[in-house]
Amino acid sequence: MSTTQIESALAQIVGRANVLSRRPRFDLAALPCAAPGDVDEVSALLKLATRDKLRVLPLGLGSKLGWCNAPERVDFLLTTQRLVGAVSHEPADGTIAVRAGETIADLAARVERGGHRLTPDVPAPAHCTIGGVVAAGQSGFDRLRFGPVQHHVLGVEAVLGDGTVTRSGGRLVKNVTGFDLHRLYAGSHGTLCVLTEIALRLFPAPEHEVMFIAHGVDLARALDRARTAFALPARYVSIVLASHESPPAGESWAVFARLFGKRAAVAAEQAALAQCWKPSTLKEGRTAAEFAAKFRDTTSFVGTERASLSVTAEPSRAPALVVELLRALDERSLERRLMFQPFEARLDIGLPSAMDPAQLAEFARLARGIATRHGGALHVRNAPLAALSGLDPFGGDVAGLELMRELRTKLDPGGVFARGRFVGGL
Amino acid sequence: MEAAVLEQLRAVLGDAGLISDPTRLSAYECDGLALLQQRPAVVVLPRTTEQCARAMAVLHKAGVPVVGRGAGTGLSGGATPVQGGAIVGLARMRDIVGIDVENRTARVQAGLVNVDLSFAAEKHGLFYAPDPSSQHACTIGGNIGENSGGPHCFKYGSTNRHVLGLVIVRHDGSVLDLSQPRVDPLGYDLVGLFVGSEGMFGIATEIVVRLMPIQPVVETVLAVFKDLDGACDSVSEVIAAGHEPVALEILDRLTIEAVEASIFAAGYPKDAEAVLLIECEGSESEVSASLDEILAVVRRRGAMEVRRARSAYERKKLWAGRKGAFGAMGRIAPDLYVADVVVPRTKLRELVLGTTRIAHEHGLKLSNVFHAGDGNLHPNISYDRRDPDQVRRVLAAGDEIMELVVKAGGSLTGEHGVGLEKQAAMTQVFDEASLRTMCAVREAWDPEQRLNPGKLIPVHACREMRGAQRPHA
Repeated sequence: MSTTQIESALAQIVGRANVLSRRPRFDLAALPCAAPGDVDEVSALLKLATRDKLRVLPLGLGSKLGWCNAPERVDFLLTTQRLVGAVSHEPADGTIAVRAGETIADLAARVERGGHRLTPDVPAPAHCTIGGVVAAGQSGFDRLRFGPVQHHVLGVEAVLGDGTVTRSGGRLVKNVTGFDLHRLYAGSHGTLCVLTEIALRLFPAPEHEVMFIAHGVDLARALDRARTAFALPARYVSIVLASHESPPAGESWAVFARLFGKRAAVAAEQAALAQCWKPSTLKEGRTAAEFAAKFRDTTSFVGTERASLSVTAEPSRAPALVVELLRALDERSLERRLMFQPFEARLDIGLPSAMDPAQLAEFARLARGIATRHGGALHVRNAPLAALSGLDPFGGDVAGLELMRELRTKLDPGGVFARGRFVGGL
Repeated sequence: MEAAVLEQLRAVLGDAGLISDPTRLSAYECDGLALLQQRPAVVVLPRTTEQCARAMAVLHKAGVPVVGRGAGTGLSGGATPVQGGAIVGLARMRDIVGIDVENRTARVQAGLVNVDLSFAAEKHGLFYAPDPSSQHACTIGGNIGENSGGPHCFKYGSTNRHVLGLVIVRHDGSVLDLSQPRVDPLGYDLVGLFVGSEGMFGIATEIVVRLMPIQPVVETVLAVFKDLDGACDSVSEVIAAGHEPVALEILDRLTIEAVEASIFAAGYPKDAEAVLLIECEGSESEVSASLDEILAVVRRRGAMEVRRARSAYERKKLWAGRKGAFGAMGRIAPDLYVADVVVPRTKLRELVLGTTRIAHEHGLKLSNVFHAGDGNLHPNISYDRRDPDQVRRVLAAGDEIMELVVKAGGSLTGEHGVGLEKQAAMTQVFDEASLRTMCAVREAWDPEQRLNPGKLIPVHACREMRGAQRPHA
């Protein structure tokens, strides 16, 4: 089918006004993109794709398409951006079921009106959808306190490649009825289904919050501050180390420790922490919340203007991983744009915006080797395709890959969802 | 079972790892759901992953159906044998391979008894959070099969939030090693998907779990009520107000009487209509702030008395009554049907009343002991399985309870699994397309559908439903 024919077929299902144009990656040409208004239209689009052997790439707002490799073939994109609004919201039960295209910002505002706070707390919330966040398995800055995103997905509605509408889980905080297929779909990057509805567990809105900040320390001192804080009986939302300086190495690190919850508990935790280290800056209340949001958005290397590496390690080996990667950066005279979450064992490295693709690939391979030796993995995000030749963004040596391929074949036997983007070419 | 197959199994497992004589096999005829029984053809008891894999390869070649079993404490018939099939029991795989204190993880064999892990971790200031009431008997492997919960899962989450890695023996005896803990899954989340798969995807033989730090302050409080409604309404209000205790457990009058007459006597007041067990933990400030507000709620909702445990001994005693409640029910009748449903936490009172009404309509004795904080009800029906009419009424009441709960937005099971008991009711919750999708995923793991056949999915298209024979009730 020609592009014009595809656009026409899409328009018959979603209406001409809802056939858009989007890029399947930031560095690929735009393609027709259907924006269905309900789950029936999602199903109809996928049935069309099955019938005409078209390849589909699902997305929310597309903010994480650069996290994957280029698809082998795509005929049209399917955005969930028109699937918005709550299906059910039970503040007294601490749950919400929402359509997958709702932006994180809108969803966060919605749950706040019910006295709750949304997790995951992800960067640029106005530019990503809950469906996209779940499909990408994107956990938030609040992971230290609340855990990864997949722990809070209570159930989903999903549409398979042949247009079948299915459900998994439910809308209750505890439920073991049937297989947890939503655990399979979370983090599958749109290779198994289109998520159309997501039920989430909610957490109480904090009464008060504070952010401790220590500027201008070296890595050893920064780690010491973080460990001292973590050893206290306080429930941190996040403890983050960040460095945004160019080499040579110096006292370029800052430590951010965020607390929130019941006012009395936060006050006591704040007092205990203040006895251990005197912060360079202390933010409290609304100021702390605003600062945390700004910090989250500016430190996370979001957007596609620069590539980044998301590196993990075994927790006890994470500091050694950072030291080794810092040395590698310095040896290449690469700027240090780093965000380290020591107790989640994750390091994010922002790479220069105009980095030579070959140099980027070489450094990513080196860093992946270091991560693997420290019991971790490395995910290349938003690298230009020129850098991904022969470099799997996720890492190709994955336990269970054959089973993953079999799962994909069972759930998408027609091969409707674009291949080649995910782990091992899935 | 063919003698040649038995000999091959014996060669793998030795005499200690194989049971084939009818007398000893009778011990494996059922799990905790004694209503359903079927004698297996053979029981294999591997000691290692390698033995398990070799035994599974023999069973695969012989086309023998396989049912995995931990300690057999499950309450949904998930480990009920299949006619002509094998039980792969994990009771001899109970080693703690290692505790990594720095990374707060433990690697264990699947047959390790749940509570033994917390005992071993305690000296490092750590514990394993999922704590089913049967934790002194049930195994970590069985907990993975059912995605088990427990009172403290209200705060810490069920088993699937604590499993970081698995070694799985697959249907054909191949070994899938997913035991390297990952900050995020690499590829599809096979570990997360496996937890709660009720033995239909493979046999987990080694497990890496997350351990939690023991909190510096723990406060356990017993609130005593003159009616069950007050206890239920307290919980709904505590949840709605956004408090985060570790556990909120309710026991009703009949349960209290049984507990107090048993070896689990906890000092619960016998004149109470209900007690609410509340536990908060964390820093001193956090516990103090939270508990004061919770106690204000329970007093406002009619608590006659509030007792704070003053020592670790008193706390343990209060919990012994709760955790021993199911055992204590033996004083009421020889058998106990433990239902397991979840309701929206805003509807606790009306649905507890509804389940009680259903039991009374069937002339049955029902007691309530449940994880109120999660909305996870356990309406318990005491009966005598030697009386066929009682059995019929128990099953009918169980079905009606599930129907009532599902209609009110609840779910069939919160922690016991679907197994055989709730298989037919799955159609109340999932449409055919959703069940077919579960079948498809299951076929990816086990193309021949020989692992725990005839459980969980009531889809006629599935081969298991064509071939399986329902055990005799």
